[in-house]
This record gives sequence, structure tokens and C-alpha cells, in this order.
Amino acid sequence: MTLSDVELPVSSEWARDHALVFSPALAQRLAELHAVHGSSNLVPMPRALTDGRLMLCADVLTEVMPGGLLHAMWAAADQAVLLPSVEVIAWADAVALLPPEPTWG
Amino acid sequence: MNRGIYGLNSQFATTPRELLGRPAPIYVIDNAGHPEAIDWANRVRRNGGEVSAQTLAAVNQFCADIDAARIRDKIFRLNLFVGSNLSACLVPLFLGPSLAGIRYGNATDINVNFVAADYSEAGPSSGLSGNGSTKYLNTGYPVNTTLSSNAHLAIGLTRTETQTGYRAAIGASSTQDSDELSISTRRGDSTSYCAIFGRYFTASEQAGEVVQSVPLGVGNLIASYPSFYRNGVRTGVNATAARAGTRTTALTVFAFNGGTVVNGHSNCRLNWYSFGAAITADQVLNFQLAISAFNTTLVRT
Repeated sequence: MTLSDVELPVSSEWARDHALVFSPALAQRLAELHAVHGSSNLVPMPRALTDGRLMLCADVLTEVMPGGLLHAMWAAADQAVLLPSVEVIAWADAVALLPPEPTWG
Repeated sequence: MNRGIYGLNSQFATTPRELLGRPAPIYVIDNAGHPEAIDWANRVRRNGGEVSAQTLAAVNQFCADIDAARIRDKIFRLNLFVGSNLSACLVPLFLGPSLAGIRYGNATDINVNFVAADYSEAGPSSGLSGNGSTKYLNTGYPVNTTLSSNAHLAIGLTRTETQTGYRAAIGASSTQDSDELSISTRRGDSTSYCAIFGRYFTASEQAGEVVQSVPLGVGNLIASYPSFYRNGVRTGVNATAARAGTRTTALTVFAFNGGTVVNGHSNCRLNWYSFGAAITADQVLNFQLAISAFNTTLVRT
């Protein structure tokens, strides 16, 4: 499933159970959009997965509608490129791909 | 841009919002308003949030209680995680040891991946909820602001960690892989006390409760060198040494900032945090009383 298959708005419950997975190139584009249209009130910073891709919790989608902290960034994005480029997977599957947390510390 | 109109007809006066277009009312100090509470409320407004009259009154009283306890100059940064929305809760009440003096860290906490549904001002789920994987706050507060032997870190922990391994409620290292300041909600190795004032592998530089086999329990938790306090009472072991490095790595909340990477994300819930200079046992007790009264007023658990 990709973001093209997701109908907005999404519920918080659904969003927390899913992750958005995408390429480093797309992550760079999102960072550029945030630099112009975003603020420190919400910085969508993805985490690197062990397979080289990046991921965010899908609950960032709850902030893309009008009034949300990511709406301006979302509206400025090229949806035709963005939506099919983002894979949507189960949150547990994404967490399983995160690098192991340190056991020390 | 119209920046609002002053009104002085009530304790925390604001102007009618539609009087001149849609001005942003500015809270003013009258005889009953604490200047730090008013300053904070104005910063919240400028950051896109709102402050209810009830919340402002509670913050006002908290500021007065901190002053009366004579610990204000020990608190360099404090965020009570209150206000109408997520943007409001990112605005710390205190940004330095005094209102007019030096400020430490960012003007607001940089929010990495928290969304509106993660925040609640009051009730049984008050504060911010981490997810243990992607969410944290970057305070910008340099970890070496004070010597580790003259430091306090504090949190209001309202939900325990459910993950194993190393999980940080607050933390940063001032040199690579050591010389850290942190409060851990869970740790993975045998010398696993919850507060670290130096090296993670040196028991003498740690304090508090063991969190290897069980997570850190809920409460108002203050790590002030050399001790750790739970709800105003010292608990666990004391540190006997401390180490501080030279890096200005920023303290992060809900994760550990190693400088080149942020990890150890926690899925706990916190409803306040504080950093600053070390405080005595009597000061810890007064701090606890002020926080407890604040949370009771706003019905926060």
C-alpha cells in the first residue's frame, strides 16, 4: 500500500498502527519543504531503517489537514510524486527494521 | 502588524479579539500577576497557543511558590507541558535562572515527531506521550551548562516505560559514549541506576534506583547530584563522583542525544521537566510541594 491508497483524514488510532516508509531522496525533499513551510513546532524527522530506507510514524498525517502543523508543507508538496513514493506498512513491521537500541547506557 | 491592546480591568486582562480586526491580546501585569507567568503566557501566544485563565492562575501560583522556596535561581530551564495545544506545550516557563538574565537552549522545545494527539494538558493522561521509536524534544540546552557535580535533572513521570534496553527520559553525552547526564526509564547493563552524572559504565557516577529488571516508577523525580529523589524523598543510592565533558550536546527529552545520533527513545509519558544547578534535599522537598500543588490545581495525573 502507498499513500495514494490512503484516504485523508485518518484517525489517530489507524495512524499510530502504521508507518510511512520512503527513500533518502524523498526525505531530503521533505526536509527542503519543511525548511520553507514548516516550523520547530513539528519537525518530521524520519529514522533510518536497517534496509536503507527511512520511516516516520503515520500519525504525522493527522497534522496535514487545514489547521495542522504540517498543512502548509503538505499543500506545497507535489502530490503526484509524493503519494505513490511513500509506502505504508504496519507499525510493528517498521519497528522491527529499526537498528537495535543500545543495551548499555 | 497590530500586536494587541493592553487591558487592565481584571487580574489577567485580555482585549476583545474582534475590536481591531483580530489582534493577539497581550497579557499584562497587574498587581496580582507574576511577571514570569505573564511573560510565559505571551510567549505561548506568539508560538500559536492559548492559555486559559485557570492555567494562567495555576502557573502564577507555581511561580510564586518557587520564589518563596528560594530555588528560582537553581532552575535554568523548566517546561510544565501546559497550554491549549501542542504548540503551547512546547514553550518552557523558565528559560534561565532569572527572567531578565541569561537564557539557555532554544526559545521553544523543538518538537521531533509529536502530534496533537500525543498531548493532553490535564486529566489522567496529562503531558506528552512518547512512542519509543521516533518522538522526542530537542531543548537546545547544552549538557555541560553546569558541572555534573552541580546539576539537576527532573521529570514528572506519569506512565512507565514498557520497552527494554536503554531508554532515556532525558539525556545527552558531553563526550563520545561517556560523561553523560541522564535519567533513564530503563537500562540494560548490570550497573543500571536511573540517574547518571558521568560514565554509564561506572557505578560510582550514578544515583537512584536500579532500572535493569524493572522500569522507573511514576512520580515527580529529581536527580540532583549526588542524590535521586522520588516525590521529594531521597531514594536509592548516592553517587560519589561525577564527570563532565566539554561538548555542548543538547539535552533531549524522551530520548538520549549522543551527539551524532539520537537513540534510546522512551515510550513513557511526562508532564514536566526541569534542568539546572544542584539543589539541596530541603529545596527538593519545596520543589516537590510546588509541582504537586500545581498538578492538583489542574487535575493532572
